[in-house]
Amino acid sequence: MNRHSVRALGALVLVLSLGVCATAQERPPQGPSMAFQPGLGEGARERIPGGRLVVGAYAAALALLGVYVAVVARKASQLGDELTRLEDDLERHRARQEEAPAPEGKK
Amino acid sequence: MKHWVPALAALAFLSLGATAWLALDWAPVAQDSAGGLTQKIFYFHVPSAYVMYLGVFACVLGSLGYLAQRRPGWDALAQAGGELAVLFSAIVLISGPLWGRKAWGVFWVWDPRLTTTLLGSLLFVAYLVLRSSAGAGEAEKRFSAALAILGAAVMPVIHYSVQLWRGQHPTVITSRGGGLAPEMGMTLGVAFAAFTLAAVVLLVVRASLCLAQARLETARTDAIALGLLEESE
Repeated sequence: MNRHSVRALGALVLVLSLGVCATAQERPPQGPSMAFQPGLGEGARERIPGGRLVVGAYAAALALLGVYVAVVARKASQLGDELTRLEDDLERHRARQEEAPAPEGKK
Repeated sequence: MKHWVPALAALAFLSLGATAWLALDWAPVAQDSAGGLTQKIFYFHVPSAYVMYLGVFACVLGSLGYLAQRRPGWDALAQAGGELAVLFSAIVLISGPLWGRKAWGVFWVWDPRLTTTLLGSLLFVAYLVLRSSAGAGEAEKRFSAALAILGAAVMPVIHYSVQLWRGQHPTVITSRGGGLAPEMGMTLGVAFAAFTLAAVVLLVVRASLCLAQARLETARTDAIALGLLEESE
């Protein structure tokens, strides 16, 4: 991940965090301990559309993972090409130096 | 890169797909007070938090190893772990409020666990920004390692904040109440396995990339010394 990507990721996390925190106005009526059980159809009577929130959450997670994998793959490809080219250049240079006759003074 | 990584990556991809199918189609919808349909966010919210802890652990292990031995492999592990921690904490901090909107009626509350998770993730964002902007010198790596170790001190506070300060965040898997229906428990188990595989693959790939970056820096230095490359390249 290059510098710009990391800075952009940092800025994104900061902006999202601040944006979410800005909505913190109410104390919800919910205890700390909770059991998750099948709701026997209660899910169908939702006032806030849960489907959109679920799709949004899954899409956001998928997008974040996808972008990260794409950035890493692109970086790996660029790095591999550059490393191969540079190491080949160095190898050729060293081979040429070994083949060349040593100067008189250094014999 | 290790030859088993592509196979593990394929397995991680398939198991993540299986997790999505189990969570969205197979597991039952929870009761309304638990968020109803939005409770399905739980199946990747909790494993993401677990991978965030894994990332922090890898980062701290790499940082301690680097401070003790100064080997580039440790530094690569630390950087890969830091990125993993930030990536999965972002998923946690996005998915959690979406569940909260339905279950609590608001996206965010200044609950101890939510607040400490936000602070912890910002510490590791700072770690990555420092890594990317301070250069690749020895002193910078040592300073980053120290920051990662200090940042990890927040993690136990995040984990035990619900018990310590009794916030709004639910504790579903606990010895003192809560619990999951069998189908929900099985789905969560598959999700944990899938996220563990994905975390291992991402950690290995990213650490290998960091090592390749270090090799490239060495090759560049050699090439500049031999006159094959200009300083600015």
